[in-house]
Amino acid sequence: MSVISTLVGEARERHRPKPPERYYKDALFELEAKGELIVQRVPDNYAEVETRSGRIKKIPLDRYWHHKSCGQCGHIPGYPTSVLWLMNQLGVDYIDPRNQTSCTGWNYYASATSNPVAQAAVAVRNFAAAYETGYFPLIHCGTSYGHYKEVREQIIEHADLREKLKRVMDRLGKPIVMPEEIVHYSEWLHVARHEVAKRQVRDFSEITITVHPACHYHKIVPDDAIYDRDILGGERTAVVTGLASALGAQVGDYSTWHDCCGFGFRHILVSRDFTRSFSTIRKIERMKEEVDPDLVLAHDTGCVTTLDKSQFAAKAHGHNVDIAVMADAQFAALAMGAHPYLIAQLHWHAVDQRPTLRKMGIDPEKAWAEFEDQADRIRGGEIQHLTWEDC
Amino acid sequence: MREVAVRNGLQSAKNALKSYSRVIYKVMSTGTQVSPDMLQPDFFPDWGPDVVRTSENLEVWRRAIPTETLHTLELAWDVAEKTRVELFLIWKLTGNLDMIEAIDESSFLILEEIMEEMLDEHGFDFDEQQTII
Repeated sequence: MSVISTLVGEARERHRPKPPERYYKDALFELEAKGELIVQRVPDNYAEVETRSGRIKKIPLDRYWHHKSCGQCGHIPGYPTSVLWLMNQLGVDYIDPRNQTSCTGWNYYASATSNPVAQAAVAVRNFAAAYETGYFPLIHCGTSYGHYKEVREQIIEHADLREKLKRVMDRLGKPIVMPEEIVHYSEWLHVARHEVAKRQVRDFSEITITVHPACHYHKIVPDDAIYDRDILGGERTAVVTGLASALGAQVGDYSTWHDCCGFGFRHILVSRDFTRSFSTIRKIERMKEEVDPDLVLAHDTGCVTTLDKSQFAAKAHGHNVDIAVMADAQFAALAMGAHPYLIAQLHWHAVDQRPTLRKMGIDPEKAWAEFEDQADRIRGGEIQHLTWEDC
Repeated sequence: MREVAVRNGLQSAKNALKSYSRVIYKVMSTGTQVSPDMLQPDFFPDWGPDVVRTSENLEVWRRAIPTETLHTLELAWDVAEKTRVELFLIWKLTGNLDMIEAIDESSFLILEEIMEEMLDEHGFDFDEQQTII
């Protein structure tokens, strides 16, 4: 190692953010010892990763309870379908539960028509539902992931909230449960990226991507996010970039990497013009001018939606846009040979994905005809719906 | 501050949330904040011209997804009825429903009716579930 790289490494260590004085796990275990709540332990089979401050985070490799996302399931269903398909291919045991509600966090931050006790009750009701099954919650949505970390902080710090929460949960006949780790699906995908790469059947070496990291992932309670010294110098979160690199794609950097996609928490609902302008002018145009990528990869519901569904308006005003947008899970699934419409369900996206698919070696017209064949089976009454075997 | 404004039913909060009532109704009645049937020209018209095509094919496209829990139109995924009952109890016990009454009475009346009926079916007396916080 050269003297310069040694000095740079030492400087990075000196400037590495210090972990919060109170470690949430210690606090949770203290509350558990007092009988105030139950901590659901990470299953035995897990990987260890470093967080921003160098603490170790455990990421389960198996036995997941999928905490789905409203926006993904409702409007971009190829996103969660790709996550489940990847787990099917990798032999990961999971439950896709019906006993799950939304985190309701987006509504709370957008409209304020809720309160902290209700938000905590919704969170621990979902966690109790996962605990009852013995499977570990995997949070699909970045908003839910950030929101639940804030709920965890509130439960730890506020005895009065815990007391009120207990009264509500007693009426529901459920315990207060908090998982040992709050795990985002992109963290599982990050630790599984080399397994995905081993099964890669499509060449992505000609694909240039840019990464948009979700604010709700790496800015809210930031010490939980994964960092890796070998990815982006350990100075930015490693998820998504680590996956794209492992799959052989070229990762382009751009000047507004740290900026929000424009979704905000409430802006997309109550100030959509602001969202749309920020998304296209501050993010998409910067990427286009500085990198000109084939694809933007994101890892959150709101980010994929905002970056994808804002571009048509900016295009109408003559802005330099038109970049396909996908979730990291869809990208990984395509790498492993998933069908672009039956599994990745790209017809729900707004920007034309076909040029990018062609660069991946996929014939989009042929793939769409295959999708239409299956849709015709549904239209004709031959089948009620698709199954994994049909895809 | 926004939460206080909603809780006290301020006119400014009512104005700000006027166009938002369908999302409030959706999340409080189903447990999912958005749903496939919102993808229609008169709901999310500014999500792009493709919304028309999506809404025309919605029923078939939703069934053309292999994930079993996503064969839904009014909910983002298939939420169990017992789960919705538990969510309704949370809304009632934590005073959420009272907040809606203060800010949007027409949504409140619809929600109250839905919740009362489902809680009743599951053996809960709606009026006995008083706010406890």
